[in-house]
Amino acid sequence: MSQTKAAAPAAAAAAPPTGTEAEPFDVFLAMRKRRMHRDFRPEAVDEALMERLVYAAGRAPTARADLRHLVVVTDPRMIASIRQVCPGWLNNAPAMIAVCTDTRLSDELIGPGGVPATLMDSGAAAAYVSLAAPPLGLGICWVTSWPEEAVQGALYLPDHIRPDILIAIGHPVAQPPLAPRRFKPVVHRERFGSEPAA
Amino acid sequence: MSQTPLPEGESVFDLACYLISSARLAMDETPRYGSLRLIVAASRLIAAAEAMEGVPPDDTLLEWKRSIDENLFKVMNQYPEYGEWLADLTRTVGREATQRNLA
Repeated sequence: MSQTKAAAPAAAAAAPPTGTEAEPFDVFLAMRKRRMHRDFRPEAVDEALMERLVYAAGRAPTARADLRHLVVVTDPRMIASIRQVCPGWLNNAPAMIAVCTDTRLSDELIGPGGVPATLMDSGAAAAYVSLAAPPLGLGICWVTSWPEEAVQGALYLPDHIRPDILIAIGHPVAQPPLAPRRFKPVVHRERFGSEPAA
Repeated sequence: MSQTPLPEGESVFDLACYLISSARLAMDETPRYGSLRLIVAASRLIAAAEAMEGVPPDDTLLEWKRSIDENLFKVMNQYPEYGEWLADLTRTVGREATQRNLA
């Protein structure tokens, strides 16, 4: 059972890092500024900023406690390994958070339904990090195209820890290219297939 | 469209890691992503060759790399345009191969 192991990162994310409460920001502004960056400046990401992103990831909804594991990577050698084995790592970010799930504990606590639930939870954690990054002057890029085995090998993940999403993190270049403007979902009112209101 | 920050001056080990991981990933991805992995590999191979001692500079390859880096992300949101660009590049590659062989 890995509950003891799982408790450490969860506990680390429990207390807000200094300054979180003192610097409120408009979450809708963060939504507007959020985008996927691929081109980052070379400087490292300050550890205090990484802690705030870890806090954000830890505050995202989760089906059950202790399922979420975060692997925080700032060592350039580790980033090099990720770049080598992740074909979808098409960026030059100097840091990363890997959002992972304890599948053994999920099976035990939730059962088969834990698979979609934990994947959604990991997406929520990544979304929280995405919204926390702009106010900190950081940019992120979700990376989802990689063989699970390659990431498990590179990060020394045990078999029951499933990597769900890699979040590349860094200071974006001053003028990144515009994000594609396709943010309009198909909206239905009251029932699927209904005509939009006039 | 800015250029994609693909790595420069990589080793054979770097490229082997990328290709092996891509081969595994291709089993789970749609064909369009296989195309993306291969065109990225071409860009990275050109960059790696440019950085190797004893390999003469090849302006044609560098031009292809520039074109790849500028256009590869069309595979995500502009797939028809990606196909058109890749067809044009492939035509150019074919013409260049023949010209080199006949020279």
